[in-house]
Amino acid sequence: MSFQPLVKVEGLKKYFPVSKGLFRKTHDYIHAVDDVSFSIQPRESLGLVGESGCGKTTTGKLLVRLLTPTAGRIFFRMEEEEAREEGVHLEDGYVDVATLKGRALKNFRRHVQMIFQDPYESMNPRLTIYDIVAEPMAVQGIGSVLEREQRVAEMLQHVGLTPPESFMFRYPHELSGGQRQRVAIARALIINPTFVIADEPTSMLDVSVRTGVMQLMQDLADRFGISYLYITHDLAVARYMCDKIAVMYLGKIVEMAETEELLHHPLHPYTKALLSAVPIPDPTYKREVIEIRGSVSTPINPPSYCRFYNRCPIAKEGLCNVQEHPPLEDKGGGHYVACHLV
Amino acid sequence: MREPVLSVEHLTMHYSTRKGDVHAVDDVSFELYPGEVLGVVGESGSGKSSVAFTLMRLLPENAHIKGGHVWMNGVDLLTLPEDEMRRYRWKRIAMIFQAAMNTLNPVYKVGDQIIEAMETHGVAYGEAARKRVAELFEMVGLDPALMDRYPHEYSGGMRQRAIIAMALSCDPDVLIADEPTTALDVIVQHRILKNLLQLQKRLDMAMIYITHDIAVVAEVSTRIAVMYAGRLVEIGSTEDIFLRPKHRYTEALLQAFPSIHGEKKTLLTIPGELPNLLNPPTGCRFHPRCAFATEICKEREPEYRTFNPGHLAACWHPVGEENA
Amino acid sequence: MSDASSVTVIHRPLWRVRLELFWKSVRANWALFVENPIGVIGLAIILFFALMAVLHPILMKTVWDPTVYDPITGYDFEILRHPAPPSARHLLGTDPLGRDVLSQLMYSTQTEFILGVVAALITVTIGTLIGALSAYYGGVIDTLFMRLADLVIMLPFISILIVLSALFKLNMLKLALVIGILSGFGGVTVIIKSQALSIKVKPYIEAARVAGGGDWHIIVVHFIPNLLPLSFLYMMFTVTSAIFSEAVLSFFGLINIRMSWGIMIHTTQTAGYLLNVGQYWWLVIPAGLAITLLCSAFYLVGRALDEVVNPRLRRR
Repeated sequence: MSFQPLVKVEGLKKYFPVSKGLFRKTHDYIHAVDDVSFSIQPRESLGLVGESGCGKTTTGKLLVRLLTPTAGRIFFRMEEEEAREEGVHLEDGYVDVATLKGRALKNFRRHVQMIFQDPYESMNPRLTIYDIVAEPMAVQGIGSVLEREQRVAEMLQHVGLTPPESFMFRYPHELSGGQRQRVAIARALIINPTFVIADEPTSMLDVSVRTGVMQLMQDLADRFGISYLYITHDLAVARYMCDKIAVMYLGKIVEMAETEELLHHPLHPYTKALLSAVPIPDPTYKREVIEIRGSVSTPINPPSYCRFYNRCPIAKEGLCNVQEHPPLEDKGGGHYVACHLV
Repeated sequence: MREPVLSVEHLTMHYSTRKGDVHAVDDVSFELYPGEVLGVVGESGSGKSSVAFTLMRLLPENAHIKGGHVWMNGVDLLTLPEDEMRRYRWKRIAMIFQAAMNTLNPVYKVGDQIIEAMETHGVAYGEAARKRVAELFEMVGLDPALMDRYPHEYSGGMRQRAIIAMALSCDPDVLIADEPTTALDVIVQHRILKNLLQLQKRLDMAMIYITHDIAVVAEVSTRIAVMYAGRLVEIGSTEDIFLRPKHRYTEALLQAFPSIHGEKKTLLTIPGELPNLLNPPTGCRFHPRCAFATEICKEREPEYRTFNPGHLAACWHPVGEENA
Repeated sequence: MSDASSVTVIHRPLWRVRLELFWKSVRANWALFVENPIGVIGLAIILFFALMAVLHPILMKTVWDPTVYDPITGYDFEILRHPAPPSARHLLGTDPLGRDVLSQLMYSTQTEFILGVVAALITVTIGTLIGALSAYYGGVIDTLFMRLADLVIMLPFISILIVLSALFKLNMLKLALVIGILSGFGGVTVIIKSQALSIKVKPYIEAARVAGGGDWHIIVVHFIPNLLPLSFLYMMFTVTSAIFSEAVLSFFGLINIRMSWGIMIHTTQTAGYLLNVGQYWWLVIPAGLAITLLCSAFYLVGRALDEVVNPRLRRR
């Protein structure tokens, strides 16, 4: 495998202190993202799935540096020339995004962009569509006003909002949810990033509109050679958008494999339970649901042993609650699982 | 033939806004039989929640019922004066609202709020009411000790269960559940659904389950009604709808819905946008987006046709009759 | 990344489009504003006074003889006793110094407007900036300005003004400055900051950061435009407060100006006619009414604007 991944995440951690008031020292931390590692190839799409509170959104925000990691490295591949231009230091052809600051960080933002979940709240209601889509160019100082107008029109056409002139100077509230999400995509892609993080981009859209947006994202990824990190709680959607899926639980990745492999041959007990709980739109199919007790909690100062222990249907006492949290290991063919019993 | 417990006939309701009349519900008719779960499927603007609010007579000031009847035990709920409707509400017909987790009053204990509902409807008082709340909590899978806690001490899933307990507290004949599990994770959702169905059977209630999630509705309902832009476009048994859909919208919706089960199929994209209810399309409201639309679809509203006993659809070119 | 088919010709320059959009939004807001009778009444009153301010120099140049009708130096020799009651020559009579009351009233309108607007602009500029910065940066800056605001709100406004005017000779402009700055650090800041906080957590701010936007960009492009409607609203209330404060200070003779409504009442008081309002009503009522009306007018406009700015208050 001589492929050079576009993104390599190693040991990523984000801990949030639990605030205890103005002057008391806090000893409690929420381990939102705890030692997460994965890599994404160019033109590949990785799905990050899990229930609320598992850390998937936080991971996405770390990769786009809306948050600063507590520990860990985020390697992003870059050409020598670009690195020199942007003033960053390369290690083996990779820049560590986790430690970027100031101008280097701002320049780096040209390579990674984000599509947000809420088509209503992710746009400033006072700005026109033109302003919203052109903002990355304006902020990065790219192009003259005329060039920006041209480029915005071009992007609007790419996302299917034609004729662009009739959309450019409207306001967000004049557009439907699906149209707004297309604007969000246009904006994310306007400065040619190679990596886009999509945080539940279709979960707030109606079903009949969802597929159009999903299709658009795939088309554009193919056309412009973009890799996605697709964050979602909906496994069915992840199936259609992602080449690989990583399942997160309480800040850790518990299983990661190619999509069809994960869906048809899940190995981790949590993945199995999760998959079995997803309703199927087929009345003739009777599924066997694996019931697990308890519910997802907030990972404050979690124990060092397996985090799934107290809910796991196959947990072995004396093993699973004693040994360190199992590491993510390749069980063959790129199928990674973090479980003592697999 | 069983007698329906609820019979909706030609229900029409509009909202008047500064921009004009929103045709929220247009000529909707269906029946609800005892002990069954009728799933009502639709996207935003389909009118599914509006129908629920109309049945409960919980409409805002700018909503106007333009016509129709809602028969329950020989009484037309739409003609009842408010104080009489109050006796029906919660006692005969109850509702679980969407995002109901936020409808609990944060300054009162959860148990007290349910007791209040029961006392107001004369279902139980004092100690007897407390006992009933404990029973209800057990039924919905909550620890009865939680009765004396406040809503903020509950998780999202727990609050949803509390809301279900409240809806069931007065032992209604009909329960309307409007997207009761949308904001919940899959595992919790499954548990609550399972629980809800068990309760429904045990208490022999008829349930209307409103959702946009086709997968959930497949598992939960015995019959399904599909709504689009304020109209009821198709109604039939769950099997009929999934295996033999007739309306082109139903067909398109099924093909646009991804599933983790089985072969990975190509998803269908439905072109266009959901219609503006201030000025809905003429004729069949789905025609601007329908691949099979012809002149007649633009001009005339399709009439209901029966394809199977109990399976009706309003479409000029239903599935299987491409050349009709 | 360029398709040959996607080259679009932009027909109109950007600045023109923005102008057209701005005009459209002004028209839309106007339509909303006039739905409310309160706002329309307030606006009508303001326009009425504005008319008076404009009319005065015209009257002085044409119909009125400056020696008689000048609001500060005029004196009507043809009438024996001053203050004289209203007559054909003097529609609102004359004051104890023989000057035409109507002329004084109209002349002062100009200064009142300027005072109000300048004070309001200063207040709103300071309040918006400080509010935005406090909300954006939080921490020490926030604490500092919020505690300052608490102080300003706590201390009695008029008393401070009185002290300041005793220490420094205040004229209209300096007064406007003082009122503007004082109010600017007070209640307005807290209100704007609270609104700014609700903007801070919106996803579009995150989106702007991801695009590479720095602090300045976010504050100027995202915070300020969303805060301006609220600022504009509070501007109305500041005008009210400024006019009223001036009236009080002038009444006590603490301001170094020649003529204003407050000065009119002050003149009445120093000449000893204040307690005799029944007999000499024209010495007090016109000025008092003018103050009340103009203040109320701005307040009413503010209330009506509230419904435009705050969609939740609108009736369906």
